[in-house]
Amino acid sequence: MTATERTGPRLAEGRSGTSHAPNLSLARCLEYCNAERDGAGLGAFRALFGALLCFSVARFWAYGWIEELYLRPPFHFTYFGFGWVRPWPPLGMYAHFGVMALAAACLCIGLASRLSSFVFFLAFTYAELIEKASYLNHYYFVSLVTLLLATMPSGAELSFDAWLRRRRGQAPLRARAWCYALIRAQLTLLYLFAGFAKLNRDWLLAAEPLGTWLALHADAPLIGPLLGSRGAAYFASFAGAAFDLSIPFWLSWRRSRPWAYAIALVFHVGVWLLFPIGVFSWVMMASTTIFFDPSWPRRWLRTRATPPPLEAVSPSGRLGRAPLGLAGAYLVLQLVVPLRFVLYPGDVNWHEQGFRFAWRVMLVEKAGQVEFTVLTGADERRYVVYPRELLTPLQYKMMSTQPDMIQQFARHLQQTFQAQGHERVRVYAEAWASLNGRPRQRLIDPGVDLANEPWSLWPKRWILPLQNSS
Amino acid sequence: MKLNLPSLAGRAGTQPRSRFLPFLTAAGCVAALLGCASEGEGDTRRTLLERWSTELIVPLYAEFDQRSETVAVSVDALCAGPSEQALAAAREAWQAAREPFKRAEVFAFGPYSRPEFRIGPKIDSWPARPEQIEEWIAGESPVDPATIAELGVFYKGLPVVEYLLFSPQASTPAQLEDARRCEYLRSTAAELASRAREIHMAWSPEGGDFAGQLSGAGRTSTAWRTLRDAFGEVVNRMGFTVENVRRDKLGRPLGDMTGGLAQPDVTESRFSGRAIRDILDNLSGIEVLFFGDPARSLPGVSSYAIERGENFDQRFRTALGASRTALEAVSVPLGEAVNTEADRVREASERLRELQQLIQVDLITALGLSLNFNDNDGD
Repeated sequence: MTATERTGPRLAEGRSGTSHAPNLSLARCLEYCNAERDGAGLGAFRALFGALLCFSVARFWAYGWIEELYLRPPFHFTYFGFGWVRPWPPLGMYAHFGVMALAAACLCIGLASRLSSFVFFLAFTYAELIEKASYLNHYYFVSLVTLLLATMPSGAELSFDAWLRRRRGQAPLRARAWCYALIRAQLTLLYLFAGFAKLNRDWLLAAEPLGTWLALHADAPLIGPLLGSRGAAYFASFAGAAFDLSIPFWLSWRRSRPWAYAIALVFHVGVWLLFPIGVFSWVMMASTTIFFDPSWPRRWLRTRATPPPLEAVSPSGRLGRAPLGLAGAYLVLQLVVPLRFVLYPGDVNWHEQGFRFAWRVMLVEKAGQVEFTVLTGADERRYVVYPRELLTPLQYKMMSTQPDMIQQFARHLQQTFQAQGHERVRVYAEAWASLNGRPRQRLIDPGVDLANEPWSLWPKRWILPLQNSS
Repeated sequence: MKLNLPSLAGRAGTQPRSRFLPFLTAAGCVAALLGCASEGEGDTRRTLLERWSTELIVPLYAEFDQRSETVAVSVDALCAGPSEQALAAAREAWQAAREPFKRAEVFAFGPYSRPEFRIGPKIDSWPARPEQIEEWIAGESPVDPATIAELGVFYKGLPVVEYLLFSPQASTPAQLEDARRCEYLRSTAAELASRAREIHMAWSPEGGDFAGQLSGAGRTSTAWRTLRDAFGEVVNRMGFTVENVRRDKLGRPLGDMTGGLAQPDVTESRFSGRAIRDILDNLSGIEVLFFGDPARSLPGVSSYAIERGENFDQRFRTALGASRTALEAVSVPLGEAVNTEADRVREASERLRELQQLIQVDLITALGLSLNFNDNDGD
């Protein structure tokens, strides 16, 4: 008897493994969302995700990145509206990461799953908000997923929570369809936006930046010459875009799922081997298991306990109208935020307005060089600021190609000079950058006093347009 | 919570073999990727690093080592019999030692700056601080190489020897008759020679073999985790060197940090008037690293770029030539020029900016060598 058969037809998905046909009526929608599902798949997702978070935090600590990213820099690039987020004193910052590690460990073993997920979400997101230079798409993804896990009974199976409930004679929790649907939707949006972002001239017609990056491996044994060829760059570019645009659907279809996941494994391991992207690949390999049949872990781990009779199941986890509305609003937000770049004229890969939180993954190879001229007083005393000596290497690298960070630093310089007693402080940037192999060009209008330009999310008129845009 | 792992036999009965096929295929592909994506023996970058370290860096420091020894010997002779000729010989020896050290400035990493070595600052922390030096000479503390070795970086090294040999206030033969002053000079020169030997041996395969650290990146090296990191560091150093020249060697004396008020006292080599020559030597080091040395069939960064289909030779030559021309147009020592020829100095800085941007923006992007300071990078 297979695990699916044991848990009964109500707990497994239909034969196709895909969602039921949509029904627009609210009642049917609620009925679908609240349909019970085997919690094993969600439990495995939680455990794998928690293990990776645990590993990430330990790695972060062991590599000295707490010091490097949060404690050493005297200045931090914070996010718009989050200027109040500041690092704690050193001991507090290490304690902060200690809490994060503990929460990740609890999430992994399923101890107080919701609470540990929420604590991790808060602690992790706070840390990320401290420093914009360390923004990574997969960090954003971690924040979103831990927030989602905090709303659902991810500890229904394969968890200490489930074990404790059984020991106490409490009704077991049960995962529901909306839990799977929400995480799958999140992942689908991630892949689709990542895929759509690749449909541009650089990626498809010039095979950049993959051409540049793959050529770095041109000396590798056996496949080196292949990796260094333009053909490989084009193949990888088109294959990468096709993968992103289709993998959620192949993973959702039961018949294609094994091959789709195998391809996903090869894709993500290949990316991990070839590019310095940290744990991103592993996060994605773990996350895509959510597309599997919810009972999949039972094929690999056979629990002694039989699934509880349905009448004994806790009613918790059911969505009402308001939570359903919240879930819908969340998804709409996830749809709108990555698209906000259309409100800004020009090439988003160049001006980077609307670039973050939009799943624009591995799209740019940029380098920049920036210096600031500060004029003070009526007599225009002139100072030249070379920011590399005031920032960490990572901060400088990121700032040199990202206009909002350049303005942020200009404003910081203004405040610093004002604090030293200077009046009428004006700050101008001499900023040059190169995108995906193009010759360098000016990024910022050198005649604009950045410190006195509005600090807002409105389009920045002082960013010079990209010549030969994609 | 108890979980039982199913037996293989049990699973075989319920799992068709075909279900594993995708995963076996994936495992095969992953194994192939793991085997092939390594940075192997024949990697051009590794070959370049091997040759640069043993044929460029080690010989430069060997030359500096030898010339520093000559400084110590000539200073001994000066103190044994102070005279204008002996002073001129010591000055000439100092100038000669300066040249390979300034050409090696593009390699100011590893033993030069790593915390476990930090030899560079003990050799060349500038500008010299005459007040501190004179205070020490006027004091009663012992003056010998061992004591000097324990002192802070501003009490020793090339700038202190320069001050004692070139400063009009400190270096006349009559002043060098002062036994304590001359003993300080002798001790500083001896300490310099021993530091020159130290940095040479730290790089040399016969000594600490930091050259092996560079060429063993990603394999045996503890300094660089990947070959790309090591290669990227060396190439990026060209840009950093030009940036340091613009910021510290030209910008500070010009008054960039003081609201336009010139600061001749913070000029490099201000007592010998060698500041512009120092910068030209820096550029020579960069030139050899980029173009290689045809006389020795030593390849440079250029050959790697060309192999990658990116030819920067002409642009590099133009930017380098323009920088040299602008620097050579400064007709008086830099300490004086920041007041009398400030426009020419600014012009030199502007030309160097072109070179800096060519390296830090165009070349680095084309070669995909943006530095990753940790693998907290990516997406």
